[in-house]
Amino acid sequence: MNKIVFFVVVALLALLPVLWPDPYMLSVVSAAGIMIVAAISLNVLLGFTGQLSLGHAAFFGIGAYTSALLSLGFDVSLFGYLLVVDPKPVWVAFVSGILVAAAFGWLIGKLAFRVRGAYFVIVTICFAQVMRMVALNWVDLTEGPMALVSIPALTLWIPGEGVIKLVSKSATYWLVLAANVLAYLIVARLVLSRFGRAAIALRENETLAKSIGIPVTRYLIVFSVISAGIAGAAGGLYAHTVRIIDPEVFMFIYTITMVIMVIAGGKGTLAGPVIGGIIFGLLPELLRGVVAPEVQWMLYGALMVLLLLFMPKGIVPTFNGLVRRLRARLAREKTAAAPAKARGANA
Amino acid sequence: MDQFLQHIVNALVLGSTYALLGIGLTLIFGIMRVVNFAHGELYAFGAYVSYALVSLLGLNYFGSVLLAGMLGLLLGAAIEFLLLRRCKLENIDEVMLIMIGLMIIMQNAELLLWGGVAKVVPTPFAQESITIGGIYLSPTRLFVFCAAVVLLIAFYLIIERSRLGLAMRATFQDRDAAKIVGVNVGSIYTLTFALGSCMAAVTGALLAPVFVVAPTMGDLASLKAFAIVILGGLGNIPGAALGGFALAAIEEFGSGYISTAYRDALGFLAILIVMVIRPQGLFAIKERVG
Amino acid sequence: MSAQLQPMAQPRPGAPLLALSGVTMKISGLVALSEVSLEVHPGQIVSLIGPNGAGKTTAFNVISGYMRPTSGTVSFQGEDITGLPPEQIAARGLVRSFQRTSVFGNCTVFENIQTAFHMQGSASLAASILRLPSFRREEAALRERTREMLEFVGLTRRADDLAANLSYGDQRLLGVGIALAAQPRLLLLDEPAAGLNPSETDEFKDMIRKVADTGVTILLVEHDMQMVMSISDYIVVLNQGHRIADGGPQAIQNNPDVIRAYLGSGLKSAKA
Repeated sequence: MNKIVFFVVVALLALLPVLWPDPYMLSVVSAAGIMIVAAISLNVLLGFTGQLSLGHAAFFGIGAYTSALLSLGFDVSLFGYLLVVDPKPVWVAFVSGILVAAAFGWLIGKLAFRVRGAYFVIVTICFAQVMRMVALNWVDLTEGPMALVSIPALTLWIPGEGVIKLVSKSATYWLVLAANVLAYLIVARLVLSRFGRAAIALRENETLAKSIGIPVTRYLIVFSVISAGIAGAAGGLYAHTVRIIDPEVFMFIYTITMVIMVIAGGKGTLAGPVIGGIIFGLLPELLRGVVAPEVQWMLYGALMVLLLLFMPKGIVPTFNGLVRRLRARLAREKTAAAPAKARGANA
Repeated sequence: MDQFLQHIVNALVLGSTYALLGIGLTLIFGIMRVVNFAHGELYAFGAYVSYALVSLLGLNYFGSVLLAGMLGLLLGAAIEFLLLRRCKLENIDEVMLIMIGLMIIMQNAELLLWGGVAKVVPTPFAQESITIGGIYLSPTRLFVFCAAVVLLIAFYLIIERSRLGLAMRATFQDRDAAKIVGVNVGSIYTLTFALGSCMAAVTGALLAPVFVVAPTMGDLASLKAFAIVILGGLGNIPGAALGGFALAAIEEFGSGYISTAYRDALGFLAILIVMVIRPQGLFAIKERVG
Repeated sequence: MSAQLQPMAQPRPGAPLLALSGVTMKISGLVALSEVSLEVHPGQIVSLIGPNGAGKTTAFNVISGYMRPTSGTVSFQGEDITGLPPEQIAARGLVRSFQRTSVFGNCTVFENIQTAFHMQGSASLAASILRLPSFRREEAALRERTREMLEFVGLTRRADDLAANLSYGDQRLLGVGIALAAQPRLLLLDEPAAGLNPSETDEFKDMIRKVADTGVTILLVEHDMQMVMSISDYIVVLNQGHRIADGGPQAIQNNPDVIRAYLGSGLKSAKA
């Protein structure tokens, strides 16, 4: 049942560029799609292990910069030595971006072992800030605020056609969709396994988790690495589709966007970041021209506060709860309608 | 050597204002367990009040600092009363996110109201620096330092000597026990948040003629306040004062001897290092993990 | 009367499963345990009793690795486990339950038990994400064992309910199920009957017997003296961090030191 719904939704989404080939719409949806991959990655850490990372844009940015720099090639002098890196094939660069982001995820996961709660949150923020300052100031490597430009697009080998560059709006859209499906499946399978159960045990009751032999720190690190890796993939996707990146990708506000998506949709659910991501990814477009960007951000902030006050669990769990209650009521009405006699006998 | 002394003087001036900023934040965390991301926005609020009063209405700078403090007090009380009181303050992450929402709202309100261009607040003091033994110090900065020290002492007296301070310290130690002995925890929360906000606003107003006033100033101020508080240990008031001076020294000497470009990064780097080596903070006596 | 001068009341043949020797635990200057030695032999139900503040829960925390003793050693199956982290101690077959109800509240009862079978699984990350046959086989086996465990603790009907929605008594049973799923050789139960009504307490007592019958050794901290006296093979009494007595239920009930300790703390049910 769930599998069928999943395939139908994916198939319908895949048909979108055919049914509605509006390039502007496709680019808007693709941009939102990249943020949804990022939100899915944040949910891995926030939703399942319960650790709030407010530096998630750092993994996104590290993935983007690593992938862009490797595909462009760079030379930089380090401690007096000149390091020259020739441009690498774009997919090699992309995978390296994921690996480097994952390596930083390992580092942050290790740190989370030492500090928790508010401390962990602030550490992750600081981490993102340091990364942003490096991107801004290490001009030899990153071009600083001048941005990295002309980043090559990702490629695809198609039998009969040879290698093509994925530059058209539809190609970008399909690429982003594929990344979303892949990220979703990886997270779904991760969560519905012994690994996911261990992470959720840590979130729900760390003391109890330890008592039944779950080495919680190991799982925290595993989830941190996977979360950072997926965020790095989202960053790489961004770099090779937008094809220009600057240190802004590390901004706090991007992390906040991911957080709003996850919280609104429902943290710790598989569909949550997707639903929240669609809403908050497309909302700016709907509001564009209607209100000033500042007002739009104020609405964002207000919505965030209201959601946390009145629907802290998010849309998906609230909706599920409603469905469950409705079903229970229907079932009760059915039983109430049929055996009225039996009830009379009981009384 | 002169260079070195100059850095020390600069660090002392900057540190005194950082201490004010950090103490407000750590007070709120220590008593209410609220990680106040909007703290920097109250700092920006104070700076804008000062700008509006001095540059637009032609009021005197000293009066503007006083008024900024009072408005900060009111705004803080309003935030606590209208927003924080509605959430149960149980889930620290949720409250943190609510404060981030507030931060976004305030920052963009400033942007909407005043635009993105930085504003300059004229100083009432002479522009020429005072020179003592080869060390330069502008009269404005000297005033800022003196005012900050006076405020720090006033704050110390409130906490250590007043009945309000006693109730605050009791709540800090044990909220439930304080309730039992008749402390009105609700109004302590309101007062705490108002006082912390007031200190942030005063700091912003004090520093308005020293730096420029811009909507993004709140972001960095929040993050620096966190750096200060982490260096001193979350919820540790004397630690926050020391943390303020420590961060100023790190930034001042770091930019003097290592790299100006990475000035702001050094503070964050310091936090990361402190977290790895001494998670409870540099000056913490007791371990407090949020 | 100092504990270390006392000989073990009933020396038993064979190696002990668990042995504490000279364990002292100071918590911020206060001595919670002082030179406590005790042994638990395989196949027994042993109770650790004493008035409030005697150091029973501290002893549990030290044994299960949640606290590191100031001095002394804890050994399990002849191996020194002092200072090992809880998860490694659990991996060796020493599993504890907690005083307050301790479950994974937002998970279903089924998921709670399934999670607790963690150490019985070994599927790799890659096998899990790729859903390899080895992963599928393992998951199917774990689900089967989860069903068996639910049957054992009598929670089959509540399998799909959220653990947080269970009654107090059912949460206790679930707690035992969780601990048992970790395959203990020695099970530490921390005040399992606290807060239960008399009929629930009786059910729980039957449960403990049933667990013991499967070959699991049990060390129990409990205030309900009726329960302690009726199911224990052997009892160790702590008072103010010292071991003041040990022996069978009969001997303990007549031990003047024990009676004095309980009277001193004003606990009424000492002779229940």
